[in-house]
Amino acid sequence: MLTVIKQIDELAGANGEIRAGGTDLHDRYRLGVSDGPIVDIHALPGLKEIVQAADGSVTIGALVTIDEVGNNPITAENYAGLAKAANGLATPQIRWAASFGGSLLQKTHCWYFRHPLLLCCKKGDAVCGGREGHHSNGVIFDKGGCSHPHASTLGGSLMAYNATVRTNKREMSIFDLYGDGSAHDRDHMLDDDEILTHVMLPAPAAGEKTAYFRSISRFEAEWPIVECTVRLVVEDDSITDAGIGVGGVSQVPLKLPKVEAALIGKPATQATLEQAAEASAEGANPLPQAAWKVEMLVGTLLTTLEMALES
Amino acid sequence: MKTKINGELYDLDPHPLDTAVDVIREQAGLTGTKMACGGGICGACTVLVDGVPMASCLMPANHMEGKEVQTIEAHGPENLHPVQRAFMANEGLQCGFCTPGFVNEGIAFYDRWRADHGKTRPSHHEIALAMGGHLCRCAAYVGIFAAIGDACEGQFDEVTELIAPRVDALEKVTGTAKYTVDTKWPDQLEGIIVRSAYPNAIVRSVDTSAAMALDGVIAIADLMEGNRRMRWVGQPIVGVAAINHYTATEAAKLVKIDYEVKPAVVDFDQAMDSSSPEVWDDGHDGMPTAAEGTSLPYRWTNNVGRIPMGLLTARRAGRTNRQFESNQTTVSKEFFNHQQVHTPLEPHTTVARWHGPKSLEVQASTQNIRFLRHEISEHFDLDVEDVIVEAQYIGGGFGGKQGMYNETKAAITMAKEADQPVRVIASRGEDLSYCGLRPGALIKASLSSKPDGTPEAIRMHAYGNAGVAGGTAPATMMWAMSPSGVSLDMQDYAVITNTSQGTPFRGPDAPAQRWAIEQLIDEEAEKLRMDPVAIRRKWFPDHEIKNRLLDWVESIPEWQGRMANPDRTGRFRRGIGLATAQWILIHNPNTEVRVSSSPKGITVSCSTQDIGNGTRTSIAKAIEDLMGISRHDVIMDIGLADRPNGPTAGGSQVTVSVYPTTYKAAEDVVAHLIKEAMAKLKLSNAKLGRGGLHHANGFTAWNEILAVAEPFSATDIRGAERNPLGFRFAMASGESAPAPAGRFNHGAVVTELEVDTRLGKIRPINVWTAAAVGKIFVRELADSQMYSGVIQGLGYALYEQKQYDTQTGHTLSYNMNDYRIPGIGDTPNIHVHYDEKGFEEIRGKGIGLSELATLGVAASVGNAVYHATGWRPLSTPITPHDVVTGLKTLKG
Repeated sequence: MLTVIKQIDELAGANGEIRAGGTDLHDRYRLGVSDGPIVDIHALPGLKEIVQAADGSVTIGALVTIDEVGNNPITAENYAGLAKAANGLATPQIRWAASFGGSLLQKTHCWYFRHPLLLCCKKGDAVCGGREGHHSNGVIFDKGGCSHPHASTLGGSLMAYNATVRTNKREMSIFDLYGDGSAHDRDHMLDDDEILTHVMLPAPAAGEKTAYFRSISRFEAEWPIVECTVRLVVEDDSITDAGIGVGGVSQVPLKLPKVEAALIGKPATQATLEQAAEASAEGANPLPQAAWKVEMLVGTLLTTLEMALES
Repeated sequence: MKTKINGELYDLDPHPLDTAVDVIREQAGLTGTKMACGGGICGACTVLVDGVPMASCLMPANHMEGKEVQTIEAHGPENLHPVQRAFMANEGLQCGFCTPGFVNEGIAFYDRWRADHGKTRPSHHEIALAMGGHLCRCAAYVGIFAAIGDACEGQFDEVTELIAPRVDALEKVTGTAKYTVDTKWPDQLEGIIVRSAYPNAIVRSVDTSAAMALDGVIAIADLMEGNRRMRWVGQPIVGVAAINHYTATEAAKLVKIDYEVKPAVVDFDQAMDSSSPEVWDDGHDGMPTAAEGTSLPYRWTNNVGRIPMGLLTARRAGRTNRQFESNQTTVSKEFFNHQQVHTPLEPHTTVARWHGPKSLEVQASTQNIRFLRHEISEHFDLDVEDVIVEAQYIGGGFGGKQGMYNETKAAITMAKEADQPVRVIASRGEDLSYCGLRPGALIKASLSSKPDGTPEAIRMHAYGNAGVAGGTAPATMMWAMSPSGVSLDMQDYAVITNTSQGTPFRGPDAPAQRWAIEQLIDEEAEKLRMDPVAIRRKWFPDHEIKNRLLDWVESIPEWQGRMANPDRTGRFRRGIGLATAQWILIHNPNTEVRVSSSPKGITVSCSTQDIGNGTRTSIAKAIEDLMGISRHDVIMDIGLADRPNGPTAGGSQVTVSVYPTTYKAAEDVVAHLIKEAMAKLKLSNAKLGRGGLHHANGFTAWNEILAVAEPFSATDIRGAERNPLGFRFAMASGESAPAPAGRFNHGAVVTELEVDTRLGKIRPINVWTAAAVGKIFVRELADSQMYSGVIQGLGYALYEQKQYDTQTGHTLSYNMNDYRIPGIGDTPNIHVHYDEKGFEEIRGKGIGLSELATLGVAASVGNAVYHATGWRPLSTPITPHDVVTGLKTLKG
């Protein structure tokens, strides 16, 4: 039932769900929505480092903790938007225990998924319980099938940075890791015998202004209604580059190129931010009960843009 | 697997699915580490792994290999950490179940803070961020902020004496307090309840053969008790007892149940429709009640039951209706409240074992051991003397652990079948789904007043949403609390659905009733261009206590600065709102306390229990107040049902029942000790002093007197209070039944908050809360109740909502991510005021405050949101969704 592997090539002979930090997996076990065998990878060598190459680009091992992503000087100084997102998710205890890779690949936090007796297309059922049922925190860029947003905060942040990922089999962009959301039974596009090993970030931009913000009802420790990671490069009061990644809005984390386009080349003013935030709603096709979240996306993004500019 | 725990090397053999908490509790036997949410949300299970706080409920057990683990047992009573001392001194705990986790996180934070900042005080914000992974349902957050701040600042570094208002604080901060979940008897099995998967069905047959054949399954017991009709998802069908939790879980999945599934009604609105499937289509005989005691009879129209008490609750109904129609001042609104779940961090748990066919022993997480023993003996046909019921520490209750709940029956039944001890612990999902809730309410209310604000007519038609149960009565309660001379049209309805039953929850029915009426009063005030305090003075113009409380409201500087017409522009808008409340004086007139003296000291016996409310401390404080013995030196003999009859921990009746009774019994003991001292120590002219006796030759301490005095016991019975007209109410039918006394306590609460109009978030900033309850017996514990009342009230107002999938009847808010209770960062500044005059004729001169503390909070939030935005929230919780959509209607 439990296989602990010490080398990646042992993966081929092992059967079961991959466990790194275990924070998502054991939640599901205890809720009764998973009982399969486990392949424990926490002891795999070479996946716990954050390394900066001569060209400035950075590689982060998949077993690095979320807390390390948030506080390691390499990430905190060069990719502050990612680091802020890492420090702004879950709780300190989860951030100390959970792996970076696991946070990208974790399963949805939809309540239909995490209830043992409710229907869910990610549990193999033909239909999504939430689509016909209760989905007020559902998707507003609907790709069909599953009605709940993807759980990964850092997936959206990595989109703002145009990251790539490496597995034991291949390299791909962060966008390809998640696909377009049309694969309704999955949370990522990795094969069964594939594990995420590293995340690669391109060389950082100098003088980047960044922010991460999530809308929730309480002070902290709550899954987001909408969340945004923003990075802006401002030169001579003009925005020269922008990266916008959002979560809580679709079956996959999203990059928002229209918002980026509405920022790049514009003066760094409140009016620009407001116009760009408004652009985030373009193309939204919300589920009926989730329609209120379109306004939340605009408001949350505007807030995050303002925070970035003030940072 | 070799692991060091608290410096000791353990050789452990974890199950492949075990997490650290399983191994620490079950194999290492270190039960100070608690499992509460099971999902890494509440932090009760926090241990330090190589110095880093970890949610041990999610940490894989095999990841402990080669690590140094530190549990709360590392800091025992002889080895206290300054953080533990600070928690004790600052009341950073109530029931104590979350405390070991908070303390461990606090110790790690203390170390980091000291390393980075030296002996300085962290801000509230920094503490809130560090403690973000912890939840305390009793809401001891005010004390926790103070404790961590004090400890970091160095205030407890040198302290060696025990400083603690609460007598059982030491057991709680060291994890030595034993809760029901910690029970481990020889050969104890784990029991799991197989529950109905459908909201309305008949169980045709149950096939347990495959489950029984599984290795390790010891017994499977029928839990239907002859009733095969399932009326809610979660209704117990069979219980599976096995050698461990994994086997029981696996076996439960092998139980095959053949259902005849019937159409069901889960949604409240659908149940209001007369065409919905009738839940009690075979008669209402077995219908449970959400109230304490029996509920009033209903007249039914499909799923809607009306209590036919028109004569009582409708004072001049015809005239009332005409007043509403003709009166220009009439305001009418429909208010709604979702269901709230108690969410005690110790889930509903019972451990049972039989000693022969007629003798039973039960450990139960219960608020009323004495009544539970009575119920068990009746239900299982046993002599009451042959039933042992014990509960020394209870991890929160809030009204949801009264009487014999399903998990208790299941454990007893399975233990009988297995002839071995059985422990049943509700999973967090079960606890959030099936183990009780505060009923929801739809309240249609109207108010009409004279131009000067004097109320003329009140209408309240309240539709209670207590699942399959009736028993809700906010309108009847409003009738009892309305001013005389006002026309009333009060009507309570039960709206029945195929969902689990409602139960009492801190101040049953009152928060919903306050939510409606206190907002309506503000609406009326605006219509009449009156001040919110001024209009409330018109309700009970001659009531001295209520007027004093309103004086106090007017003395709050922030209230004085309140703008009648606030500037309602900009993203962040501040508002301030008021609500008043009252609660009934409830006491247990049959409370009996025995105080004994012996060379060991003073012992107090009573079959009552402490759910974090502070029963132990209230009793010990009575001895301290009379004799001058430290409350920590009083020997407490409670938590066992065969001790002299004690009160339920509920309804704000504990202190008012036990304190004066203990005091009186202790007076008899003192009289005996004086006599003995004069005789045996030859003291002359001996008189009671602090800590001993004054006499002609000086002072002699109690320990010298107790050493020579003949052991002695005195018992006192509390007796019933008279109501203001001099009568005694005789509603107390059994020894455990509480009795009302026709008296009310009174409260007022003012909330200042900020609304983020862009993102729909409401942030409470300041809450001023006042209680007029007469004498305060233990100030620190009263404060804790007031704080927690505010914070639980904020949860009700802003976050908490039991949600169902209306197709299937399953509970969607099945984990503590999706059922959201207030966290430490949601705590506003809370300012407590007591008005101690006006209860001099009550025995002990003071009455309870725990319910009162929470009743008006949500209503004050509603009024503050309106003040800030001009939009009146009509339903709770007021979520970001409600705020952003509500503000839109305003713009339109």
